[in-house]
This record gives sequence, C-alpha cells and structure tokens, in this order.
Amino acid sequence: MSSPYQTKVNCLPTYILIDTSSSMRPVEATLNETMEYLYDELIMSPRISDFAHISLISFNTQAHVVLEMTDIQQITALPQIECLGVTNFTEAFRVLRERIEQDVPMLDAAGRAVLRPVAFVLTDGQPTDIEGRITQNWREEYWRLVDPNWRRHPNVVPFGFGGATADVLKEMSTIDGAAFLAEDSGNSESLRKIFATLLNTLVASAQHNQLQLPAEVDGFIRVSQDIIE
Amino acid sequence: MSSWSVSPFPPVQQLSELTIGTTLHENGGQSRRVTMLVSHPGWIYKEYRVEPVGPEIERLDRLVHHPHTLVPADLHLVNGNTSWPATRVVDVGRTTGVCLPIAPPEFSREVTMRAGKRTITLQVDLLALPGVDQLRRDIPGQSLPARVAVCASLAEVGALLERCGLVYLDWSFANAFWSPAGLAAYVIDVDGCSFGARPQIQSHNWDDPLVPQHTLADNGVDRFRVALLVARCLTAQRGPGVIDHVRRLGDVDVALTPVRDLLLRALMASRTGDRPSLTRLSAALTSAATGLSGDGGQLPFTTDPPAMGGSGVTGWRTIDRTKSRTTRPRREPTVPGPRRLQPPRTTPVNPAPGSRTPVNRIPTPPPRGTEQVPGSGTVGRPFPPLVQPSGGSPVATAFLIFICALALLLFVVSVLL
Repeated sequence: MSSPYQTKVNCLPTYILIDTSSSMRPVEATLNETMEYLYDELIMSPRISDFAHISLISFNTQAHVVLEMTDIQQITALPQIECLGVTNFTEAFRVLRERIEQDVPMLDAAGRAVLRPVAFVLTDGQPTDIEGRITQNWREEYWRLVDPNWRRHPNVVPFGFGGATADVLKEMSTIDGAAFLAEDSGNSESLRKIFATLLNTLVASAQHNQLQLPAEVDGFIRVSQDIIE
Repeated sequence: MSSWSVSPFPPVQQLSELTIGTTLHENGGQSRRVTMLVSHPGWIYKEYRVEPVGPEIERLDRLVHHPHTLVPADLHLVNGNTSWPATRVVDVGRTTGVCLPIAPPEFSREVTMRAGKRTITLQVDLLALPGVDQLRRDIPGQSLPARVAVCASLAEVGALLERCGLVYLDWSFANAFWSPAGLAAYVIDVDGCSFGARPQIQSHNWDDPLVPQHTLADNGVDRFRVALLVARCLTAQRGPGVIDHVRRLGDVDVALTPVRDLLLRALMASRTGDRPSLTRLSAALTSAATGLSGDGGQLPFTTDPPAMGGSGVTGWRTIDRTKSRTTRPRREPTVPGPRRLQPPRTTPVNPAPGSRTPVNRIPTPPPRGTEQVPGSGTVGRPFPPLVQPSGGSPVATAFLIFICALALLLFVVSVLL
C-alpha cells in the first residue's frame, strides 16, 4: 500500500561565503562568535535546518569549504576561523560552483526536492588578485557560476562592509535589490547584523518553503539598479 | 498560572487599557506581532495583521465564550493544555487582536548554549528528534513511553477541538509545546479555530494530499495533521519516510499496535472520511501510555554516524551542550592557504591542476570506545565499546600456537630419546 503522503520535501542549499582576508582580522573574534550564534539558533529550531542545508566556505587567497553541506545534527565542532591573505573572489566562486555540483545531487539522492541554491557573500573588501591588487578578473568565474545555462546556478546575495563598494556588490547580486552595504557602523556590528539577517532570512524561508529575502536590513543600504553612487 | 478560567479580562477588552511590553514575535502567520502584557503578567497580546470584520468578529466572540459550555474535564484541558483566547481586543471600535495566556513554565527549559544559558520554549519541533540529538541540545532524551504520553496529551486536545466542532488546521512543529516533566502538550494559536469547515491553509511539510489549498477543510484535515505530528514525535522521523517507521511501531511494543493501525489509517486513507477520529487516536495513545513496558523499547529509528573529516581553518570548537566548554584549538602557522584541522583529516576533491587545496570537513570524532566525560569538552555522542573478535588478539593466538608447538616438540624429542 503506497502512501499519498510520500512526497518530496523542499530543501534550500544555502552557502555562506565568508571573506577571511587579512582586512577581516579586526573582526575575527566577532566572526567566530557570530557563527556560534547562528549555530545555536539553528540547532534549537530543527524545522529550519530541515529546510535550509548550510555549507560554509571561507575565502582569502584560496577558498576552503570549512563546513560541508551536512545535516546540522551531525556537526560536532565549529570551525575556528583565522583571517589572512587577499580577497580572491575567483577562487571563492570556483569552489562554490564545484560544491553545488556535488551537493545538489547528494540532496536529490536523499529524496529532497532541491530548490535553487543561494549563496550569501560576506565581504569587507574589493576583489583582488593573488598579489593583493584590485582586479576585475573575478567576473569570468562569477559568470560561469551564475550562467543561466547551468541548471544549478545559484542566487547570489552579497553583504558588504568596511572597504566593500556598492558597484561590486550590485554586480555580484543576481536578484535586483538583494545586495546590502553597511552604512557607517563598525565592522563588528555590521557582521552581527548580517548574521542576524541571515538567520531571519532562513526562518522566513523555512516558513514559506522558498527563499525569502529581506526588504531592508537595519544599518545597511539596499544596493539596487536604481541607486547610483 | 494564567489560563482561560482565571482571565482578568472582560469578553471585549479596550486596547488603551493594556500596557504592551516586549515583542516576542513579529509577522508570524496571521499576527503582526505578539507582545507580553506588562499590565497583565502571564498574558500576551496578539495583534492581527488583517482586521477581523463581520463573521470573523462573531467567530472570535463565540470562541472566547465557548469554554463556558464545556464539562469540567474539558475545561481542565482548555486551562492546562491550550492557549485559549480570553478576550477580543478593540481599539476605537476596531478589532485589533486577542489576549491569550502564556504557556505554564513547565513548557520551557533553561538550556546551556554556546553563548550561555538561555530559557527556551519547548516546541514539539524538539520532541521530534532522536534522544541523542535532544541530549546534544541539553534537553533530556525522551523515551518512547514519554513520547507516547506527550502525544496522548496532544491528541486529547485535538479530540476536544473535534468534539466542539472546531477546526484547527494549523498543526505543526511550532504550534505545540511539550513538557518533559509533566509529559503533557500545550497547543497555541487556538484563536485561529473555526466552527466548522473553512478554506484549507498552506502548511508546508504538513500538506494534506487529499485536501488541496483553497478547498474546504474540516476535521478530516485535523485528523491527518495530528496523526502526522504524532507519527513524527513518536518515531523521531521528520521526513516522508515516517510512515515506514510507523509500520514498525507494533514490533517495538505490542501495546502500540492499535496506535500504529490508527496512524496508518489516518495517513494513508484515500478518503478523508475514512480517517479515524481524534477521540479514537487519543484513547489508543492513552491506553498505550499505560500499557507500555518499563523502558518501552527503543524507537525504531537509526541515526546516521557523525560526518568525518578534516581541515581548512585554525581549529575546531567542540560542541558540548551540557558544559558549554570550548576546546581551544592549537593555532598553526599563519600562512594563507590550505591548512589542516585538528585532528588532521583531509580529502582532496577535484583539485585544480597543480593545486593542493584540501576540502575541509568535520573533524574526526573521538576514537571508538571512549565515552563522554562530563566537562571534558569531548564531543557529544558516546561510542559503543570496542568489540574484540572472538578468539582474542592475534598476538595471543600466535603465542598459544608457539607454546603448543614447543610442547609437541619436547614430547616428540622425549619419545625419540
């Protein structure tokens, strides 16, 4: 006897890309604290982590998957992040694309209906090459990532603070208006607000069973096509 | 303890006479916000997003009054196990919301989290987890008898609403709390109940396959959703595979056979009318709760082993919810690029040509055979002791063979001589 209830449950592959370049060193402690906060909140609300499957990618000169897209129940330790190196977005986007190619089939094989992945990018600087010089070379890897012809292309939602600029964030965002630049609060405070926003986004998304992005983020300017620097 | 029977409010309450306190929730479901009431400790004010008018006002007033019509046993349930609306709140003639009692303290618990101690409300979201995962959250692991008792309480509330002709529909992990000490359930948002059928509401992961959204939904939907909630809490299985686990309930303890049969009927019926009433489910659960043997057997679930892995950052902070201790990682030379975690275990995945970037994974769990020492910072799950293969170690076996061979040699030599 088959059950009419045996339907697939939606899940949202969620990537948090954290800039861990040397300019982030002043907020290193805050970064580690806020990750604990996010973990605490998610672990106490299993219905949110049922929906949003989270992976953490840190990037500086290179990019690393510091937390694989595993069930949050299975996490036994949180990464201790250290900030150094440059802001190499090319590597970040390359690793993200690789991971999506692995994670989406894994979730599908686990019987989930996989929604388009979302990548939240947290950065305090401008894209650089491996020598630390500001560059536009990241665009090539970025376009490969968000190429509409690639079935699994993610939504990218950037959050910037410190030295991040509106034009780069705007360019990285795949959804008009879903790019946020901190006004003038300190970087630590901005980071806390970003993580609180991330959490609220996941709560709302789980409630609606689809990605729900904030219309506004306290202390941040919403960067859209309508805003000209 | 606040409850409908000790309501300090008239049936219709002026908003201006309420002092609003801390906001608990915003933009959840039908409410714009839910706030504590400074003027009435133990009560909350739920402000609606959309102003109720006409029949909606009548419905609210009828709901506020309804417990007056109940027999003492049912009134006891209303007071102890539901957040039943005590008054309709108006502001300059417009209905703005309702006042509801706060759940008794037994439905909350102080837990130790990484950021310190915090009191949380125990939503049944946390009951529908395996015991080991509850322990990791500093919540006592719930045995099968405990789960059955809580589910009996939950179904009892469902049965009460059904008897009253009230359609709730909004059964979910977030709308019921549970008490590990009292083994009881507490249902919130009762103000959303309708007298009789109303359009189906959207409730992701609780979708009734027989009653699509926007079609009329009656207690048949409540029967399905309560059954699904009970099934998830009993088996600690949250996904579509829950039905397979329900099928195995009777194998765990024969006292659960009637519960299993009713759950399967509720979840798999091809017509809503064939779903058993919540009164029957409640009675079966209550009977099972008293009939279960001591430990009540183990839940028929399996838990995946922790993910293994290694590196990429300077270290890992172990998660020990019971002591909130952090194992300070050993810091390694600060060179940008790939690094190894503690303990080192890396798996290269699709490295770029010439690249040695490791893929960073979860650190290796403690070796098998170790157990968690309170306060040691050792990661959560204890591992079963190592089982030695029968026959002992290879060294002991070799030594035994050597002795036997030597004895045989001596015997042969002594015979020859």
